[in-house]
Amino acid sequence: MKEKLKKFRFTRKAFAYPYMLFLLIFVVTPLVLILANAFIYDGKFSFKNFAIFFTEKSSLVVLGNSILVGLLTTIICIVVGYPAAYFLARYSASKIFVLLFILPMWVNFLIRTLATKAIFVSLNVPLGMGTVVFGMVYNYLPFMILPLHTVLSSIDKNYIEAAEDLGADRFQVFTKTILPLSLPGILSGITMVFIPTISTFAISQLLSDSTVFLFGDSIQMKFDQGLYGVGSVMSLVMIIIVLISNFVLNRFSKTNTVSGGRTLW
Amino acid sequence: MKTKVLKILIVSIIAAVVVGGSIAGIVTVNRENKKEKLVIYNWADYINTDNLELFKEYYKAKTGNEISVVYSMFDTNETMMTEIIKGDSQIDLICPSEYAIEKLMKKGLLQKLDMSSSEYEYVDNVYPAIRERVDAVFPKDGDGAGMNDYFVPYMWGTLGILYNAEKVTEDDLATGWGLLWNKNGNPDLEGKILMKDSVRDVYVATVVYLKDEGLLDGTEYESLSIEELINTVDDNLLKMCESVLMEQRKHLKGYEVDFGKDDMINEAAYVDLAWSGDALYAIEESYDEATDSYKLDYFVPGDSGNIWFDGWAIPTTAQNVSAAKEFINFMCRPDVAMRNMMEIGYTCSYNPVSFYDSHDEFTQEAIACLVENEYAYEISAEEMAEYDEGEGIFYTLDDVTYDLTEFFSDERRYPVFENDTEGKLGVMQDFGDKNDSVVNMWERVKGGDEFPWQLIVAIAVSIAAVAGVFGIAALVRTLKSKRRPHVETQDELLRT
Repeated sequence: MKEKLKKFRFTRKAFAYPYMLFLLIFVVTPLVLILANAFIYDGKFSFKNFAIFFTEKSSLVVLGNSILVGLLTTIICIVVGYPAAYFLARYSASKIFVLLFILPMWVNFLIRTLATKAIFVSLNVPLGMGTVVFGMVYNYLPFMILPLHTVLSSIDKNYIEAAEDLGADRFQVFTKTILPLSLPGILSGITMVFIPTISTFAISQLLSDSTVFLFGDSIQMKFDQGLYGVGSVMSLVMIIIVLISNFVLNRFSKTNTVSGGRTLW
Repeated sequence: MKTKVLKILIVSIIAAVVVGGSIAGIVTVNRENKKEKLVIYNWADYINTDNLELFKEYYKAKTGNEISVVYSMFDTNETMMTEIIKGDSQIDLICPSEYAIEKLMKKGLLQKLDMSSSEYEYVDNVYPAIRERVDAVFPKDGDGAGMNDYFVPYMWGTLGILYNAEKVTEDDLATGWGLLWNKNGNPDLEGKILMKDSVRDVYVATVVYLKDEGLLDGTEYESLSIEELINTVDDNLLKMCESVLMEQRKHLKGYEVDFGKDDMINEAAYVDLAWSGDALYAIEESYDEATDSYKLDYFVPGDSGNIWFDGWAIPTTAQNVSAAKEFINFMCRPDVAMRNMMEIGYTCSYNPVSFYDSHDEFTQEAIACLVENEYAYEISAEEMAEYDEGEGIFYTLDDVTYDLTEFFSDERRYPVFENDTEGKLGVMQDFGDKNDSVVNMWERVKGGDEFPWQLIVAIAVSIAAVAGVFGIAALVRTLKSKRRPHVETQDELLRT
């Protein structure tokens, strides 16, 4: 009896089991269901859902548009977020600014988006693609800044000093030292911004009065209308995009990371 | 040793919580079992919740049993149907639209109601015209059972256009359904038109528009009545719809899901494709005290379009059928029906004639509810004399006579469809196997056919901006480094 008790070791690992269970029920099971649904048409196994999706020009156009919106949002987030994260990381008084950046994240994103809409309406800004991209950037900018900030503030200052000692000017210090060292942050920022923007539906619906129709809207509409098969195929396409971009980004970060860099995502 | 004690302590605490929790769970389940339960699945914002409380009292009085009501809501018929088709739901009562009832009925997922008036005293108060119409549209099956045997109408209404009477002119209204396309070219309305993001309703508006515009002339669809037309779905007609809907995009403010009423009241939009009940609700809200008028109004263009009926039905998987039937019966009681109507704006299926012809306790309560909501006006004998014989609707309550004419003869609320010989207000059936084609058409329309120039330009500009910043920085650096050796030589010269 004592032996048996000894064999069951109540290790720290056991504390992770509740979350493992959660993952199993709410992440793995739905994924399996999506996979199964994608192959079911009229109650029978078939590839028809794939045929429907890939032959319908409009869904592919919607997907293309969404990728463009995702790209634009990501680029704007990097352009705006990188300098911000850089200065936040360099100056010690920046804690308040970091707080200001995180503060909107504590407000539910639907409320934030509705508030943005109210602001645009009161300023008489016509709702459309521009406002949608603005809303996306506003909502996803913190996801770009936070990983960048973590990576940039963890860069050892000695690297920078070493570079300066070896005769690099400020531009060279940035391009040859800081930028490569912060690459993991940029990459995790991209994954955390690009993929969610493609699948967003509430932001585009609210900030354009549904005139901008993105891939997320399309998936939502399919499920709303009871077209689970095609909707599942579209979700699969999303998952494949996620996997591909993760794979590419990981390869990229492995070959380029200078020692000391780490991926957050 | 200490850690061991700690571990044992943690384990025992967790065990205590788990065991205690499950015991508590069992106890509560047991307690609930003694009480009956009714699970209702209805449209959102589609009932006066006071009636749910009243139902519990009514049920206690009639059967002697306590009942708890679980009330959940859906926002599209499709959501509801999925829930029922899954087949394992615990839902006792649903309230979908007629086409959804037809679909579920054909799949054999609904129970026959068999509610005799001896047992359920209020069910017979349903407006007979609705029953007749349903019988006419949805033919009875082999053994003589029609859709009327499977459902009891709850609310009904039309599809039409809610508009801002201050901005929309008579000429605009004359264009009928064309108002949604701003056919009159009123510059005030450009970008102020809302379309409902619901493909069935859009389809009705579009095909009737096509007919009105004469775009169907010379085609096989020309001779169809409205009812036949809105139930015709084929690739050719879908293509015509798609092209006019694409063309409509540039006039629109957008496609609304649930903010149409608010946008209309706040004047963010001037025209909206709306259901009669939502429209009446919005009109009520748009009352302007300063001018003593309503900003908004509603009309069904050419009195032609869609008429719909929502009703109660009981799924085959229902657990508490007798309570569900009692609930249906209760919903048909005049005061209950009136309270619902006052709350949500839609027209209840209660026969309007019964409202002003009966004088029992509940009808009086219903009329009192009308009075309270300022839909009934006190009228003197002289004023009454101004009406011709047989004209006007009056009701005497506590020795005061009220004029109900305005309420009951308002065609926005009670559209005339009994003698609709031309079939102008059509009941819409399920799209059937054409559903996917219609959804795809709608998706293409919502996606639009504009090439995303702005996006590509914006991406190019932002990439160029980044490249530009780096380029300038690099340029500045090379210029500096070119200058540097020159400076150094000068230094050397000075030194020497």
